[in-house]
Amino acid sequence: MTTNYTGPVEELNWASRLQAHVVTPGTRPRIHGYDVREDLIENITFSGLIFLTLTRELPSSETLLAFEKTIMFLAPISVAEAPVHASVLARLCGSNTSGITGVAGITLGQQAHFIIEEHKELFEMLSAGNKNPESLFCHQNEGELQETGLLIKTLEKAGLTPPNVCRRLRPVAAALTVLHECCNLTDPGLLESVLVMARIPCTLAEGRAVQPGGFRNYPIDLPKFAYRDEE
Amino acid sequence: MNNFHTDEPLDTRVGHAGWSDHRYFSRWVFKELAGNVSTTGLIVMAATGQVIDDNDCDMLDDVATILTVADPRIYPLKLARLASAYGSSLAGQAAAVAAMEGAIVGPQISQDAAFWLIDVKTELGRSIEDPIEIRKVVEKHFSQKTRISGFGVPFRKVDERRLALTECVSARNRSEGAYWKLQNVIAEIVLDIRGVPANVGLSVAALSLDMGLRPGDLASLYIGLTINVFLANAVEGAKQAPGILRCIPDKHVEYVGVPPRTYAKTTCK
Repeated sequence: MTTNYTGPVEELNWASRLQAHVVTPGTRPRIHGYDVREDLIENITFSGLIFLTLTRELPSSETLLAFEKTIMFLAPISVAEAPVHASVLARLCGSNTSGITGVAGITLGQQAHFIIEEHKELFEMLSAGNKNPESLFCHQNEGELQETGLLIKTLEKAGLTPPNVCRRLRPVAAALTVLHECCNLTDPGLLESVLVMARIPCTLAEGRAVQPGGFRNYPIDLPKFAYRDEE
Repeated sequence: MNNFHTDEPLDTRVGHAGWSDHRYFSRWVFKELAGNVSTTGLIVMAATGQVIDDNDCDMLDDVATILTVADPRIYPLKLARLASAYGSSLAGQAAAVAAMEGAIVGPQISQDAAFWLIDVKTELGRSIEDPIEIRKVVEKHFSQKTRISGFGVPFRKVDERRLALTECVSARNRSEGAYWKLQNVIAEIVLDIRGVPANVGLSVAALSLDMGLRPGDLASLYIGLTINVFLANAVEGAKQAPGILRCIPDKHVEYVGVPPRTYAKTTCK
């Protein structure tokens, strides 16, 4: 039986329609004004579509190249990292793909936010035109130097000129610098979105590769926990 | 690559799984807790590590009950309905809880208000019962900040939950707590100087501080204690799994973005 209780929802004035800001509803969807299924599908790559969707504008050819190379550089994320590890545990517990996707989304979002916050001072430095990054953003060992070198090499091979400062940076810092400087992705929330988008395929795939219920194959005591009673 | 060592164990006070019994915050689950602790007590232990007595548990039960505004049209609860609209109540619960991260609605308000009340009380020092000094401190804070958690009641003249909580606090003889009395005085001052009523978040913060709970634990605690409103909407939402929530008909959606345009080859290859 429906009752006639009243409250703010019944008695105040509210909007009557949902507002769409990016995609037009219904048939022949447009993203930021572009017809996807007839126009963009013939003319741009999926990376270009992602760039457009996130930024409202189509990238120039140089920007798109830098974007594609950099998100590919950022894409690999192994089971050692929390988002993938969490997805693996979800699958181990028998979670289906939708459950793994939820876990991956939440944990990747947290990781991306953490990384972008960690690099806040680097972005401030870049925005101020300062080319002397704090040492914590600079490569710490030969391995990191080589990883960053690979990003620079691939960008140069594509005919791009990565910012000089990249050469001194740790791999992720260098990649974020390319997105910031060459793709004009300066909004922290936007950079977080790009990181999540780049890393979700590996996170889902690694989770889905696990045998549900294969508990004895999972190192339950890694890392170790030590339970202590309150004193 | 990182520099962490796997041979340094992570400390935990939460639990240990044994053979014949298990530890939970320094107590045996079967031998000590079973039959003696309420769900509220377990949630308080989980969120704060603290053990509270039965009277405090009863008070928190009142708070949780008063915060039970479960209308599915309320934003986080509608979110639970949307995420459960494909048939999974767990997805509905998880999505609604995840959306509380950094939110400007929900239990985070009590946590922020608690930190603010501590600041005010610290500034007041011995003048905590002096309404003139309280007014000076509150006016200073409101002149420095654009928004202080615990004030403002959207779409209503007053927060009826705050009034209901006040009655419960009085019935349980807890109206003499230092923070409780302070928030009452502050609420009147803010209404006078800003015309903004206090909301239940301020009162919950004050009551919690008087109970000895730590401010930084309050958001987690009240998410735990009010999980029933998410659960109820996620469960009913999953059972109904209504098509109307899976996709609102086009006529109810208005596009307000960039007008139609076409790709120009010079823009992008």
